[in-house]
Amino acid sequence: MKVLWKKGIAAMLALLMACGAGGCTDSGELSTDTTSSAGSSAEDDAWIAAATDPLTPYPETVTVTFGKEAGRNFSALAGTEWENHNDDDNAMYDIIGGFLNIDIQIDFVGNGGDDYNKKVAMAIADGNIPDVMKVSDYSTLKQLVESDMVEDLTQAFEDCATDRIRDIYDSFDGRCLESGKIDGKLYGIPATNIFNGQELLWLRKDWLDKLNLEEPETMEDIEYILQQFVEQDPGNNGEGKTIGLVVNTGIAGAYGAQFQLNNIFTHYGAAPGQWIEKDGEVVYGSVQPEMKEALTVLRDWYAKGLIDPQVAVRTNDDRIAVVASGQCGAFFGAWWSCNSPASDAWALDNSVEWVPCVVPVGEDGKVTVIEQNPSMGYLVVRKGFEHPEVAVKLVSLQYDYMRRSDYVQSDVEKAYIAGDVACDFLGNCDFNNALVLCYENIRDILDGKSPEDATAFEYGVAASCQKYVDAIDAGQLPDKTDWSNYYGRMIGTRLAAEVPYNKISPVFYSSTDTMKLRWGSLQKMESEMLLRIVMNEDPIDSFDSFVEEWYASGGDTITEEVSAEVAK
Amino acid sequence: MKKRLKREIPFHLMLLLPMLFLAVFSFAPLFGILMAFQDYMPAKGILQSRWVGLENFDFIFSLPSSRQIFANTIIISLGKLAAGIIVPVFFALLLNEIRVIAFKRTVQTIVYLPHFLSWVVLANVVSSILGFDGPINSLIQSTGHDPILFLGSNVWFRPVIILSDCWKEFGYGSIIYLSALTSIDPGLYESASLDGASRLQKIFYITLPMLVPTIVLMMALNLGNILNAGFDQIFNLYNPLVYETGDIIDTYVYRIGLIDMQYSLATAAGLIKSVIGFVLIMSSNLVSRKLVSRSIF
Repeated sequence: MKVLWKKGIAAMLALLMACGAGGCTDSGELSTDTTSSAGSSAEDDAWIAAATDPLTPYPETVTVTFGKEAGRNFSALAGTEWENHNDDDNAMYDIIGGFLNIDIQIDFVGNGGDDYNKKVAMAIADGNIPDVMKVSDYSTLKQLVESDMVEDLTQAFEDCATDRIRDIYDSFDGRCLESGKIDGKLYGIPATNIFNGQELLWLRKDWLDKLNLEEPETMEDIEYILQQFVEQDPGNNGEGKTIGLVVNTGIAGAYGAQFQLNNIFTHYGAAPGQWIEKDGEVVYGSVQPEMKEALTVLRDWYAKGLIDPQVAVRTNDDRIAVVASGQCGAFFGAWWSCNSPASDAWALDNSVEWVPCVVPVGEDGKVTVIEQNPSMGYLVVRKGFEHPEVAVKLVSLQYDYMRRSDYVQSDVEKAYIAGDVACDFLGNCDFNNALVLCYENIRDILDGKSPEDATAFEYGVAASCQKYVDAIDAGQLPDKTDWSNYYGRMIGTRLAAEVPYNKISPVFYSSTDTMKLRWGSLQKMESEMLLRIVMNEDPIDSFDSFVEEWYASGGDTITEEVSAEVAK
Repeated sequence: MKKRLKREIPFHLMLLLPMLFLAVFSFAPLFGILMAFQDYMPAKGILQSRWVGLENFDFIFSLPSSRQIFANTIIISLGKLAAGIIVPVFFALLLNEIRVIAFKRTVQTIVYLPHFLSWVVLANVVSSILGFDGPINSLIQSTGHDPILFLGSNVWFRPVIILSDCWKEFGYGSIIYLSALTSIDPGLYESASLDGASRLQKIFYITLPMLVPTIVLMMALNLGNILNAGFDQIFNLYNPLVYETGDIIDTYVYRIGLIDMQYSLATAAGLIKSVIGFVLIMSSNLVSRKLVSRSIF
């Protein structure tokens, strides 16, 4: 009944607006299509205020349609008072809608990744996109701008982004916001991709202790430890059953993913899968000679049985399973690997202990980290939508106002608890070093302080960590969630805060014309080469012929195009 | 004439719905073939996108791995075609000789089962069976040999694909032969028995010759699918190590087409497949009509 009523109002409003639009001024000026009495200046002022200030609500309800990535698993809310919440209707929309006086209508929802991207592509193909939607990459943004389907948001950002939102984008040294601009105009509000910390080598601490081994630092240390794990079989898996290091089929090149060997490649100065600047020229990392050094070591490890012999045929579930079951005691993964597979292994056997190590360190004692693409998609506004600033207002509301601790009031708290906080439209907008800030706040809360910029989320995690500490002190078994939170935040992200590292900053994350056609086959060659060389199927020198073939099959043209793009 | 029409009207009405289905889901989308000759941009749509003639086809054949993927596709499909006829026919013959009806029915039902499971599920089964801890490698190791990484070996990958597909489908594929067997005139067997023919002789001189038209027909039908080597099966089982022998047109098109959103290329590749499939099915239909005077149309 309530829904019907809402829809009726929305339809009437839409009708009224459509009538009003006839009297609307030319584009470029602020729309002031009030429903009646176009001459009333007080009402005009209210519309102008709403259009130029981050948090001022609209004088009358504005209907906005959205394309939305499914944010969360609502089934987890079953049995609570929020169990009827879904991606079309939830506490978060009520809060946002009520605050800004907008009626949120969801045009389409898709699961993150392929599913959502397909729906976006369909909407674009139809030429009928929602008023506000997220697109997942720069090439889609570019395509929309080229076909003149989206609004220029430069002025809207000037007017409606709060200082904190600006600070957030500044924390990326401009890399993030710039990526939403085409020819100097801002068309997409970027979703930020925060720094995930170093990739860590998670080792079974209980195995290290059993074998009297120290935590590793260098490549040699890692090799020795893996060798001991495989030979001594500290997990009693049976002779020859222990896997040294479980590795992703892709070997390296995906960042922020698990089971990747990026640290080992960067240790030798290589940057697989990334466009980097080298001696003043833009080059593709995977075809540089440094790769060969890293591959030589890895194929040697493989030959010695230190790398999972079934690396080629394992699915991600398999990899998680071998770690969880205690068949393998070493894997690379970012701090969040505390959840899976680390806590899975602990849940199956409570004597499991993990230690994440920042290795292998170079001569300067640091590991080298490759910076990720700072943008994880863009919020765009349909060309011709009367209130383009609404996208920026949403960002200011959700990622500044509602995150501030002084806003933590009952409604939002409830929404946070219900998890509807994930029902946002952008994905994320946070400081590049948000992970470190978050760790520091949690640490301070645990120390009994109350840091002023701590969020409700951080208080929640801190409480969970406290439960872990209490349980350990009392000699009880902690809860799995508390275990994960403590290992992830107090052990994992502490390393990001405290252990210094070197950075490689790629110069290009997007796609070029030739790339669209050729990248698929070049990627095929690359993944084939990496796996075959590591698995000793091909000699190490086949790397040279791969490089030659890579350039000949379009790699040279693409390198030129990327250089030209970067030079712009 | 009029009477006949009147009598047949209900049948035509019954056909209406399927025809509508065909029109909506098969004929209308034919319009999309235009994309194969365009540089299709979703935002511009089919009518506004730039025409590029045969550029997309040129590109597909100029890809460094196009020969490899066409060869893989054809070899795998031919293997499946052969296995998909020999095994079900053999199985149907065996089943036909069983006289205990209950046993026959049970076996029949059990072998149908895998047909109804998706490859996403079966791929896990196959890779567990062939993994280092699986039964096959345990057997190999117990005889003192090194375990074999079946799904990572260019020697083994195609046989594994063909055999596992055959295992999944042979039960279902045998249905049509079993029904063909029931339509053989029992009088033939009786007179053969009177002449003193043994069971094997009856199979070779009566059953098999009577099955030939069905076999040829099935072969003709399946030839049209020669370029469909089984996307979901291979996609769930392959890895970069076996691209050399296992990467087929569909998996390749999936990687360049859907992941990189190259709709025109994907359409062009699909069109090539359809054209070849069309030529094959027409010619095999013709051959079937000439040889066994049975045809689909």
